[in-house]
Amino acid sequence: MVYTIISLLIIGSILLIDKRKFKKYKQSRKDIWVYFGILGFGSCLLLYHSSGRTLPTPLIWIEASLKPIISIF
Amino acid sequence: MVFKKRALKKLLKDKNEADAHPQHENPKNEVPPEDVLSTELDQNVQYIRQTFGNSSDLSFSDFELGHKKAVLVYLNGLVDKMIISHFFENISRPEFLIEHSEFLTEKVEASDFMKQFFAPANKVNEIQLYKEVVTAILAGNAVLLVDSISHALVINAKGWRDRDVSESATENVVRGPKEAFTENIQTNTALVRRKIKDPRLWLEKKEIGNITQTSVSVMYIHSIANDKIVKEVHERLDKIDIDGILESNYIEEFIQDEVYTPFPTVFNTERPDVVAAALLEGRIAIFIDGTPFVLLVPALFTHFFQAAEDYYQRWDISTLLRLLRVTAYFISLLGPSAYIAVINFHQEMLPTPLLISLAAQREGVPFPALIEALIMEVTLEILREAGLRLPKAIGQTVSIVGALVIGQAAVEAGIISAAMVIVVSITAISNFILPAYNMGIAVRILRFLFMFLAGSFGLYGIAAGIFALALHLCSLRSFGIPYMEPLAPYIASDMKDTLWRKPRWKLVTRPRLINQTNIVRENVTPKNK
Amino acid sequence: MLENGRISVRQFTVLVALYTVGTAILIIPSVLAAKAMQDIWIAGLIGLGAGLVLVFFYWKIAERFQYMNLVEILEKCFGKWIGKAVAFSYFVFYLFILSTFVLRDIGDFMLTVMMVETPIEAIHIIFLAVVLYGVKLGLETFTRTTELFLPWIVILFVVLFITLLPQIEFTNILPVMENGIQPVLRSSLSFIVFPFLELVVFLMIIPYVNEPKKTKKAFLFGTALGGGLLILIATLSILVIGVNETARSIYPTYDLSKTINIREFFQRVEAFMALIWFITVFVKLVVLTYALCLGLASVFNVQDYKLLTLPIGLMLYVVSLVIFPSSTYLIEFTPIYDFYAVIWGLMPVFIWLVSLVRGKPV
Repeated sequence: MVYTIISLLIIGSILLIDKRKFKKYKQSRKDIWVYFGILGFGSCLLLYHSSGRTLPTPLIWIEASLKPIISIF
Repeated sequence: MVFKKRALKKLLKDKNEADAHPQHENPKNEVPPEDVLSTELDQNVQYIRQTFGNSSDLSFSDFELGHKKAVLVYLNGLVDKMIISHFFENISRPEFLIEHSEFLTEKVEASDFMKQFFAPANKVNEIQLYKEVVTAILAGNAVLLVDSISHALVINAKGWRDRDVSESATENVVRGPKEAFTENIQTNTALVRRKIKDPRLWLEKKEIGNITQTSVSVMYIHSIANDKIVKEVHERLDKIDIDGILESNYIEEFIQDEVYTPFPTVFNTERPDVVAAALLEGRIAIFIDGTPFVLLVPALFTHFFQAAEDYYQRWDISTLLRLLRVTAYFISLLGPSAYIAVINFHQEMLPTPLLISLAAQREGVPFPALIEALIMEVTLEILREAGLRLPKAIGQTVSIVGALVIGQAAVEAGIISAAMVIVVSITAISNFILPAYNMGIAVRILRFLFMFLAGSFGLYGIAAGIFALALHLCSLRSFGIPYMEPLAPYIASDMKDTLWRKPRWKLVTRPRLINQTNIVRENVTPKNK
Repeated sequence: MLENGRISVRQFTVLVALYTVGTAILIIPSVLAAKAMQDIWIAGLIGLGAGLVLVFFYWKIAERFQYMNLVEILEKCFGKWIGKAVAFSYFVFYLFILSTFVLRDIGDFMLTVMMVETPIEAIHIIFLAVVLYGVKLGLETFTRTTELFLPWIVILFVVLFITLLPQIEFTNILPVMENGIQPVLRSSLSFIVFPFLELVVFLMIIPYVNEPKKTKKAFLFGTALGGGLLILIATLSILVIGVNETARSIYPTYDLSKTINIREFFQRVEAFMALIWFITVFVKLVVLTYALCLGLASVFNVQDYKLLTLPIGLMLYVVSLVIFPSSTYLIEFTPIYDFYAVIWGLMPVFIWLVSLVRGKPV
């Protein structure tokens, strides 16, 4: 629970720090979309992680895709 | 908060609109008749009285000039009483009337006569606008108004009491010139001119402050100073729009590159020799009337570690002293935090006997090291600030209270460990070693941040803090010059006079980034090597 | 133009050298000693030689494509959209993973040897915050900072070297080539993968050197400097603490500095020696994160890469926490990762070869 709150604080502080930048990018919506895309994905992962569940490491996909190739050698 | 911001914005907008469309839109050459002095003396006097709101220090001396009524207007205290009395003595002499009888009989224009009469002694100007009269009076002149003449004469009678040139109070030297600037801008610029006798020493004057009209002068050596930086200084000065300038810090805060930093990016000094040396390096001095502190730009990090005396002593001694200053700077920045980190997280770093003795001292102390350090540091800062503001006689009491009562008693009472007192004292003394006071303050602030980092993360926190600090320092610029130059970006030719000082015959070139055209500053022949 | 700052050739050299030292300094002795045993220095030299050839190819790529950055090169080769897709996967699947490794390295190190009780999250946040601050300040600023740190690293290294001199035992590196050349070559292979293959990230930075044509010498010299330092450290740990200790230890360099002991007075300074590592890891992570932000901004046509710094930092933070479920997994995964890194690291070289064969003027 504490960790979730800290995570929310982290996300909040990121938004707070970048607040000034949003105004600068009012014209180019696409930049803001990219920004919130990455931030949103990151926050989802963070909140999921902070709620105590374990995220799978991205390495397992690499492992899964490379194992067959390596086994040839 | 948001509302306040909006209200402020509206105010500013209104002001700008008012500035953009002044109420009287006249072509420049045509002066509206109501602004010109009238031929009626009474009317003129009345106008001046009204403008100054009957101020009590405004003097109107009525007298008769031949057969005409005349008034001499001046502000008491701003004019030299001698000049005024001399003036009256002159015109009341019996010979005066005889000598100038033609004026009295043939009705020569009084202004012509007065000009003739005063021209050799004082500067006399003729003006005809109310505005000019007011400005002249405010500047400390006496203004002569004569009945039936729509012109006024400005008699330069400026003369007020100034502090004499005295010894520097904040930047003392054992060897070297002792004089320091005063509050008078003319005295100050003259002090520098006496040191640099060259017509290329240029001085550009401007008035800043809508109400105070403070004189600000930009001084540099043409052909040595970088024109771009000179232009930049002028641009930044011209942008200032404020009601008053009372001290050089008003200017400093407006012209510095980065506002959100504890580090000063403008140098200030009250020593003419420091200014002269900086000018010779190609830097630019900004004099402000009313303060003995002159600003120097660009100011780099290493400049704040250089005392004037470094150049008046042998190079090896100055080098050692400079390195000592840098060491002290680090102690002053990291002293308490390193202690906290070692005590809390890295006891294994201490030799065993020392560790045992420290542990024995800390046994009775009820606080963790961070709290202990915070208590002592805050106490110290309070003592320091109190000592600064108190009258000198009481200052001694403060030091006794500080040293004995708080230091010794706190240790004996077991609130603070003795080691902490030692650490805090060394830190405080190290802070005083810096020649530049404002650089010392920056460390005082940062020290507390480092203490918190050390208290929570140990040496790792200190390392992270140092990284952030280094990044911050490297991001700073002073008038376009990287603040950490010549350390980063590393410029080998400029290292000769930074953390150390090489012998004078090796200081051949001027700093590279500040100055690009006129680089060589001395001619080193093998003979005087 | 995404980046307006320019760095000098000298600054570029320093950046390359410290990046090469990077995370490798703490781990490389045990990696090399695992197979090459006492012939660590031969393996190191062979690895460095191959690394220099690799770096030379990287520079050739930059030269052939007229000093464009990696994203622009890929777009030029594959056309706009496929190029963007390849660049995206390059940054997400290689540089991003690499950055999380680096971040995790510092967390693991702190947790293992220095601050056992502190949560790894806090360690990551502190380090990442400083790194992101550096990236936000821009290329020029963090390069200047790197320059500022260089003398400290040199001083610490010299101190480390001199204080360890009395404990050197030359018998430790004998006999030479006990097991033949093969294990030496195999361990030099892992030296190429880590750290020299990772230098591919400088394809994002070469365009912003004020005289890109002169970067060839700087790139090679910086790599040689960093690699030389690594070989020196690896050899030193063999000489002082021996082959078995080095191979078994997780952080042999740290253990190495633990042995410093001069007259019972100058001892237990390993925390200071860890400072070398902090600095080089910091430089490495800053460069990686910067390249990551710049590359992704370039892929998505974002006007200012600094906008993406914090979201990418957040991603780095989360992924770095979950990247290794356990330390056994890391050991298991290492051979796969080597292969994986080789694919990505050599990809630009293949692109260059293909473009050479096609002979199309760029």
